[in-house]
This record gives sequence, C-alpha cells and structure tokens, in this order.
Amino acid sequence: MSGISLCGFFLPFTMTQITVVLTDWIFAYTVYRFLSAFFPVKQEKNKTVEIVSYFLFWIIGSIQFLFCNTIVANIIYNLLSVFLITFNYDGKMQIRILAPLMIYVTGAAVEFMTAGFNTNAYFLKSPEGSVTIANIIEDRILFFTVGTLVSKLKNIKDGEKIPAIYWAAFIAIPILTFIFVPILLSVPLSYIQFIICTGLVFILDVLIYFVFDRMLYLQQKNRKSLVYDLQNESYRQQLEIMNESLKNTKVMRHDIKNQMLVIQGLLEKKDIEGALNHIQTITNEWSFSRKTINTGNVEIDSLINFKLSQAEQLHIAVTTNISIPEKIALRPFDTATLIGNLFDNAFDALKQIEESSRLLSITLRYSKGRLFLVFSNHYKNELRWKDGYPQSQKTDAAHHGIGLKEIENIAALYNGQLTIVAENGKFAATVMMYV
Amino acid sequence: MKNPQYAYTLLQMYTIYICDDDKTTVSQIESCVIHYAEKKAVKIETQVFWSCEKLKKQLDAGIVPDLIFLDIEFPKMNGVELGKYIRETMQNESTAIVYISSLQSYAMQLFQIRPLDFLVKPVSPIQIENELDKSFEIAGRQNRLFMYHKGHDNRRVRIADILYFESKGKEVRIVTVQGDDLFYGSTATIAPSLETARFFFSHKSFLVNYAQVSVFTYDKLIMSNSDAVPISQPKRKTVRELQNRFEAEDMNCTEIFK
Repeated sequence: MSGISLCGFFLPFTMTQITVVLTDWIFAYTVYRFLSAFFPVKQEKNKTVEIVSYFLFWIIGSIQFLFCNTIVANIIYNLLSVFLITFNYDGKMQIRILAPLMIYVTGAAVEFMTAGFNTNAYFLKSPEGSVTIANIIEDRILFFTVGTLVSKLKNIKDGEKIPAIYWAAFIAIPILTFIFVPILLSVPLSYIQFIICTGLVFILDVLIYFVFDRMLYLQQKNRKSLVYDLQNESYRQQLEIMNESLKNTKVMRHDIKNQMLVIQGLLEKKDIEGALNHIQTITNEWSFSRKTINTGNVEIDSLINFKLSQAEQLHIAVTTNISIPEKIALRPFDTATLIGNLFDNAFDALKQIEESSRLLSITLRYSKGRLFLVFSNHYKNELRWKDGYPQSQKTDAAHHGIGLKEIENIAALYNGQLTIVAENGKFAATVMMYV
Repeated sequence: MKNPQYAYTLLQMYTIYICDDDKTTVSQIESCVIHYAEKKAVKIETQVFWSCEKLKKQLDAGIVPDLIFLDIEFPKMNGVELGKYIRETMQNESTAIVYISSLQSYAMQLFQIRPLDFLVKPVSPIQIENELDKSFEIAGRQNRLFMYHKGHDNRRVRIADILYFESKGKEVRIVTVQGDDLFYGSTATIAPSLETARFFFSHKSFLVNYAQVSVFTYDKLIMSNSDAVPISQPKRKTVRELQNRFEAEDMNCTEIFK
C-alpha cells in the first residue's frame, strides 16, 4: 500500500487523495452557492444546523472517498446528501429532487473536463494514477465559478409555478446525460474527440441552467401581463361606474327640473293638496327605485352597485346579505378582483338559463377576524373541471378559468381559501379570508 | 352507558330581551316572537326595555337572556357600549346579540362585539324568524351540561361556558368562563361527545369551543378571555374548512335554491 509520511505519522493515502479531501470544503461551499440559487428562503433559526450539515457533507464525503471510492457510492452519496441538505431550506419537493441532480451533473461535467484536458482516463474521482494535483485544483475552481454564476440566476429561485411537464423535462436531462456519458466513454476516441465530447457535455449542462432560468422568466412575465390585464379590467369597470353615476345624475337633474315645473304649476293654481301629493309620489318613487347597498365602504359599495345595475340589465334577481365594517384591511385591487370575478362568474352561468330562474344570492359577512364572500346561483350546462376549477362557459378562450384561479390567489394572500360546490345545477363559491 | 361522565341535561326556558326606543319595531319583533313560540311549540319569555340603562340594570341583577334584539342608536348609553359591557365586563359570550339599525353601514367596533347578525329597519318577520332559528340552533348545541369527575366529585359545566380543553399528560385542563380546572381524562375521549356542540382540535392537545373564539387568524385563535390557542401547521387546512362549513350553515346562503 502506498502512502505518505506527515509530521512523523504515516498516512496510508496518496498526495492526490489528501488534496481531494483538503479541497473538498470548496466543493461543499460550491454546493451551498448552487443551493442558494434554488432555495432563496432560508429558515433563519436553523443556521447552526445548516453549517453543521455542510461540514458533515464534507467529512462524510471525504471518508466515502478515501475508503469506498466507487462511482455508484459516489453518485448515491452525493445525490442523497445534497437532497438531505435541501431540507435546510423552504421549497417544493420537485426542487429538492432537481437541485441535487443538476448540481451533480454539473460537478461531474466539470471534473470530466478538467481531467479531459490533461489526461484521458479520469471520471468521477477515479482511482489513482492519472490525476494530478493541478487537475483537482482546476476542477474546484471551475466548479466554484459555475456555482457562483448559477447563484446569480434569479429566476431559478421563483420556480414554484412551473407546470409538471417542464419539471419532468428538467429532471430527465441530467439523468439522460448520465446514461450518455458512460456510453461515450466506452467508445475508443482520439484525444481531440474526447476533448470535444467532454466540452460539449459541459456546455450542454450549463445551457440547461440558462434555459431553465429563461423559461421561468417568461413564465413570470406571462403572469405579470395577466395581472396587468386584470388591473386594466378593474380600471375599466371603475370608469364604467363613474360613467353610470354621471348618467344617473344627469337624468335626475333633468327629472328634478321637470318635476319642479309640475309643482310650480300646481302651486301657481293654488292647488296645495295636488302639489303635496305630487311631492309624495316623487319621494316614494325615489326611495323605491333601484336597489343599492350602502355599507360605507366606498370601493365595495360602488363595485357592487355597478354590478347590481348590470344584473338588472341581464334580468337577474339578486338577494344581498351584507354586513361588513366600513373599513376593512383589503387592498382595493384585491376587492375589485374578488367581487368583480365572482359576479362575472355568476353572470356567465346565469346568462345560459331562462330569465325566470336567474337568481343570484350574494353574502358578504365579516365575523371574528374573517371575511366571507358567498355567491350562489343556478347553472345549466355540465361544467368542465380543470385543476379543481370549473372552466368558464364563455367563448373568450384565453380567459378560461382564470377568474376563479385569480380569486384563489387573492384568498391565499390573506391565508384564506376558495371553496366551490357545484352539483345538480346549484353552484356556490365561498371565499374565506383572514383580514 | 358508555361514557357516564358526559351525560347531558337540556335547559328548557328561553329568554329574549328586546331593547329599542322605537315602538313599532318593538311590537313587530314581539309579535314575531310570540308567533314563533306558538308555531314551534317552545316556551319563550320576552321582556322589553326602552333604554340600554334599564337593560343593564336587569343584567346586573344577574338575569342573563339567551338573545337580545338591540338597537344601536340611543340618546344616552348606546347599543355599542352595552354590547361591550356584556362581552368585556360581564365576560358573557353566550348571549346572542342581534343589532337592529336604520343604517346599513357599521363601524368595526360593532363587529368586535361579535353579534349574531345585523338587521336593517324596517325588519321583516322572515328576518326575525331566521335569527330565532339561528339562536335556537346555537342553544340546542350549547345549552347542555358537561360532566366530569374530580376526586369523588361530579362536576357540571354548561357547555356554552367552556372555552377549551388542553391535554396535560394524563390530565385535562378545562378552561371555562368561570376559571379553569384539572381532571383525569383525555381530550380524545371527550371530543366525540362534543362534536355536535362544535368543538374541534386546533392542535393535537387543544380541543376548542368554536362559539367561544373571538378572533380567528390563520395560526392562532384568540378566545373570549383573550387566551391565545395555537393552530398547528397540519390542522390549518381543516380549521379553515370547518369555518367554511359552520359559517355556511349559519348564513342561509342557499335560500335561493329552496
């Protein structure tokens, strides 16, 4: 057995092995950099546990390398330990699986490359003979550089809203690389060919990060533009409300003028009783005119009253049951999106049924720190469900199901939830929020 | 009997106070209540007060009603002040308060009194009947007795007065309006018999009376005596869902389907 003598002690390891062990903390630190890209939110209280976990990763990794250095042990150890380390952070299970895979493949590609430039027989900390100390140092530096670059890719951090199919693709790519590389190695290649192949694998690997990051960016942009659309829609509705009330004022002013003329005429004829009767008629008419709500909360009142006038045009009979405080800790944008979408959703369903059964019941109730919004109505056509939501019956395909999804997002902002019950033609959407 | 310590007694007489200075509203509510008592064959005692001061005097005398129809606007002591007195000074959470007002807008203060509901004048017989239904349902659930053994004693507590139970190893701590007590037992065996009274686990060691929660937040419950009871992470979803279910039952939102 070969070995070296250090300070009078004989160590049964080669210089290369010692170098690997001594520089492996850089490897551990690089893993930390990578993970900071995948998991932006740290659990503050577990700082010590986090440091200890990286330290153990280094120590146990070194022991594994010194005493059980096979490719299989290496793969299992690295994937499993990085997977466990991810539990220092808050995140989705998909990211916990994807991160170790991508980090491992990158690490392998880097080792593979640095070794490839110098010799042609090094792969995944292979046994002695072919690797120089310089290789190891180069490998550490390059891996660290990639880690630092990746940690700068902001969008990876926000990867929670990715569809499952993309997750599958991103996890498949590193796995396929793993299958591909050993096949590549088993073919006799010239030195130049080998360098090109290893270089390509490395480039391919780094590209995955960029594609991943870019895709997340686009996904976010898409979401943002949806939010803008909704905001625009809410502004448009506000304008319509103003327009409507302006029209009402105009009509009323015109009306007042006419009515005053009638009263003036009656008084001129000294018909006091007639004038009084006329005033009574007007008072009755005004107080029994359109149903309006007046909770003292301007945003909610104007939005609901506007929607009530829309309901009237659609011949929908609305029962309201509203008891909410004048001031409520809801952002105006959230209020508009919630109430607007709930109304639109009900209107869409009610438009499909005959006028006589177009009934809508809305309840807004504040109680013990919670706001409840309940919209119930009938519906006719069989609902198509997707991701737990009935899809819109509108022809506007681009906005299918977005309303309810948006309501759920807002409910989630207030730690609440949206519950939908739809059966036998009866539909009820309940939003509960802590406000 | 399987659980002899959890036998219940139903308390019969039902008391309703009406407090308003508007004669029309008072007589309307009164006749609705009489009609309701006849229709449902229940015994209801009603009493009318023309001012909050008079009602307060009656409450101070130790007679606590099941339900109060309370006007908000009065020249002197108003409905908000009296409500505060009932909830905060008297620590009475079980008397249901239905506010009546000519306005539709309410200040946050009113909600802090945790009323059963708000009615806008003129009130309709159907609305009154709904409120009576609701408060009778609550009474049916909560106006029973919970019994437990303490040494050789059999102790009884009105379920409406229980805030929550807390597991303490082999003992259970019972927290009521009157104070707290310890007895041998487990929350797991108590829970099934109190399910209909709307008791639920917010945490594996806390069994809570839904009616005695004064503020719900996503991670804790503030009880009527200001105790904070945690909602554990795994229970948050169930607690949200049960609030939805209970409130939907209380709100009559499905009336249009009838």
